[in-house]
Amino acid sequence: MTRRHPSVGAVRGALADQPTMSMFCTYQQPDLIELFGAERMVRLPIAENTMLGMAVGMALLGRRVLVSIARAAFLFTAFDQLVNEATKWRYMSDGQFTVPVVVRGLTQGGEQLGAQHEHAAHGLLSQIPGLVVAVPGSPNAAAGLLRTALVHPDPVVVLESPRLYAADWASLPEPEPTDAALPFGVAGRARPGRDLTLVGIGNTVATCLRAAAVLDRDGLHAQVVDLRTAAPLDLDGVTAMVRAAGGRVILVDEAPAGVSVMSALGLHLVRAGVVAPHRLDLLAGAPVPAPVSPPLSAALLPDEEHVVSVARRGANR
Amino acid sequence: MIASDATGEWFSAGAGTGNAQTMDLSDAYREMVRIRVFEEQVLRCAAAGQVPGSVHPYTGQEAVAVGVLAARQPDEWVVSFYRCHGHALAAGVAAAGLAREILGRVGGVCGGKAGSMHIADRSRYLLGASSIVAAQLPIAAGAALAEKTAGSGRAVVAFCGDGAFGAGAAYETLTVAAVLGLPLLLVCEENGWQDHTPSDLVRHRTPGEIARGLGLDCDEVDGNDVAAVHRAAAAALAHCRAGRPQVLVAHTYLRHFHAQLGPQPPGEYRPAAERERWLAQDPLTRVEAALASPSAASPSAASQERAVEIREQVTAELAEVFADALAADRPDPASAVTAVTAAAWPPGATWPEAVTVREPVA
Repeated sequence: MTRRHPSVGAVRGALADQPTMSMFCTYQQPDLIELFGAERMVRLPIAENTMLGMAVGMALLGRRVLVSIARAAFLFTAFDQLVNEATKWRYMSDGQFTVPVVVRGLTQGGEQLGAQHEHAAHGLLSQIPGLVVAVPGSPNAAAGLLRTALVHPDPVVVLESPRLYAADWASLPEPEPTDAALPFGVAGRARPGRDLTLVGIGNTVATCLRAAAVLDRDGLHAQVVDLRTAAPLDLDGVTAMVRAAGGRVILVDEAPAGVSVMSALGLHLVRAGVVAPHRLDLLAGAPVPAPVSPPLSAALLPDEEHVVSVARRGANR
Repeated sequence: MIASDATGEWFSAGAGTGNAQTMDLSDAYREMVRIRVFEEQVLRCAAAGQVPGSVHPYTGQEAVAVGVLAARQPDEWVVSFYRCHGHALAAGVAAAGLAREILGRVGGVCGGKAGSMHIADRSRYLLGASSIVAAQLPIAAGAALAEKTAGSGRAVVAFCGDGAFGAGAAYETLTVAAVLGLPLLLVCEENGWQDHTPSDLVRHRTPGEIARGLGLDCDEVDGNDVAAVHRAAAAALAHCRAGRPQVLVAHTYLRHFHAQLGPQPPGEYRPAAERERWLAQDPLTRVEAALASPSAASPSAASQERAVEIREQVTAELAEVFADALAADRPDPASAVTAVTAAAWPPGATWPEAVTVREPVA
């Protein structure tokens, strides 16, 4: 019998614990309807802007909504509600209201859906003040971050790689020992190591873990850090972990490098004095739309071999 | 059903629905005068450079806010948009807190973070106002879904301008409202203009035609006749509470055109004949006429005196409110970083250190 995905338990647990919580989606959820009733599992037309706006309205009245937007790419249709409404009504009311809305969406990885369906949007979304951007790097992290999102008082976007839900999800590297709740803004040490630090987020956590296993055979012991959330960004926690592992850092990200989470982190690490500028590398996604043909998309994203070669090249610096 | 007595002063709405509401025409008149005088004060402050940001005055449309909100229960949520001062006052928001908010002073109802366009007051069930055209419609539908899911029997009242019907959010919201049977009353203040564009230039169906075309109940009313607006809103709200969303199009007109940003008054693009035709139908003048009509219960001379008295009282009250507001302190800059989220954002940030410049831990 196949193991149930840990995020299923996270969502069902929240729905069971919070009788006033609803879920909005555009597709069938027969299992959840059976468990929690059709009234709470609201089927809506494929109109993401109104879907998210309605979630905001419901949340303002104190009823949490989990919006399953299917693809994170569809969030751009709802961008006004995300940027101008969901993340603004608490502030504009000076704290009279709160907006407990959680949006889940799939990002990119292994599906080859192309430029309009695939984005690494965590850097972009991290620029919206007050918005938690959770980017799980493993199945247990997906469950753990969802658990926290579903009790959080403010808007959260959970960006999930389709790899976390692919048929072989159970064979992914799993740095989290359990599917327990994970705090926001606290990076995790996905793997200990004393020679250098690889920092990943989302898909690049598995990339870093696989690269670390290869480097181990060279006698190069890499620590791997999972940022877990792009916002809040755990600048101090990563600084402490880097300080403990010696001053060589490779930041690995699918999002483009410009004005990114990793560039902010790199600046912070250098200013904190835990890594010299010439011992810091940033491997980022190319600022190019996602193509469909696999060799084309692979050419744009950092992979395990890329991380390994940069680590080896810099080993003696 | 609406019952009105011969004097035209009292209206009782929703008879037989358990939602009886009455509106005293003198009270309505006082409320409308308060909005008019309040907005004239705001515009004076704007001309003097005392208003940070923009002002979208509600002058000319007072009968809509007052007539509609006299028909809501006090615990029914109201969702507004950037032209929100009239809705806020008619919803019961204190003039002092509203004036201070618009002027950016201490004691503003939203701490100086909302300004003119985004007023919210939980204590008066004013959920908020969006300055993005039509964005408040889905939010109001969500609030209505919350009421429906809770089984509260309460409706939600949302206001918009006719420009909102050109946005996709209107189509989406009305469709979902109809499908889900939401207790939503959408009041469209049709003033014929969207920003500096005459609505008929950029649409081929009116808001009422669109709403009816989508299969919603839609009443259209003279928005400058407060009694007519109240009757229509009370009837619509009774249907909403029973799970049948309603659209009410109130035909009205702005006395002060669209918006003022800074001390310069806005340009006036509307044809003079159109303006004159509508200004002759001013909603305040029409209540005065109704109050003074020979059929009114009280003698006409007394009613006229009463109208003058109300104007004087309201003008004096609001002069004091604005003088106090202008004398009030400006808010503490440290409060700029509060209420972004429930905890500090970014986590651990303190004012002013680590907010404008995030220093690393060396």
